[in-house]
Amino acid sequence: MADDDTPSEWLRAVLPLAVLSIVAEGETYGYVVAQRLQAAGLGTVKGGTLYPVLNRLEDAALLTSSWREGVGGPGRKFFAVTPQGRAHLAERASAWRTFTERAAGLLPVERSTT
Amino acid sequence: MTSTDYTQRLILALRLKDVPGDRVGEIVAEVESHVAETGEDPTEAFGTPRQYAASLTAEHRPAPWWFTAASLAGSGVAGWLIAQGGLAVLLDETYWGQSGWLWLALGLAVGIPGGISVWRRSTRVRDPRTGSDLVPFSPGGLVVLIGSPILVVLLAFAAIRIFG
Repeated sequence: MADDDTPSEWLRAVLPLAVLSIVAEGETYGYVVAQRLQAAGLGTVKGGTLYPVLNRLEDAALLTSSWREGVGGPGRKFFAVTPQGRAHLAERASAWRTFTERAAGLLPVERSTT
Repeated sequence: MTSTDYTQRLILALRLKDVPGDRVGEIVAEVESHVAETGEDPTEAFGTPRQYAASLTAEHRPAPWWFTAASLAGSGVAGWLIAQGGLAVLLDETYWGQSGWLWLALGLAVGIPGGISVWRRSTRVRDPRTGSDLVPFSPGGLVVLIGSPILVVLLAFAAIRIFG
């Protein structure tokens, strides 16, 4: 299960990039993105948080969307990454890594008490 | 709250925030699809319809208060002029020393631009999955909206003819 003590503002900061990264692995829809985030240990991301993120990524032309017929149920909205989205992801992923390493370098290291 | 109940309220809440019809349809379809897939309660997953609508339109600036006030005042003046002008034409009288037709034309001149702007904002809510309307257009509502002021003028005309 996820660390539910993760501050929500940390999640808010990384969520667009994490969602873009999941969609970049292959065309998918909202529910699967939520499951992947949970499986990755980022906790339960509610629909009310996830869909606005997906839509903002689409507005920024990093994703495209299309409705497909679901099996028996209502349609599913599939999202796919655009070339622009891929470029953005590559650039931001390395920037994020640099940023978190610098931040981690500033924080105290947990020492073992042996 | 049932899923249909939720979507009806969400449509209304988004409408009140001046979200375009196509966008409303898209948002509602996302909620329906997600809820059907996960079996979650819509309020649990998205918050109340008002909260969700507010979170989606946080950056959106609503029309300034004076714009709403001016449209309301404009439609009031237009309605008044059309009613007075129409009555004067029907009774073959003048209103403030001018022909009823003049007041009628003036009322239409004031009212039509406002009417067009309302009509242009009221784009239909289209379901992106099927292309059908999520809120079926109601011809009955339109008849009541246009018909009732005309009825009032005709009743006034009849009353003046009978009792006058």
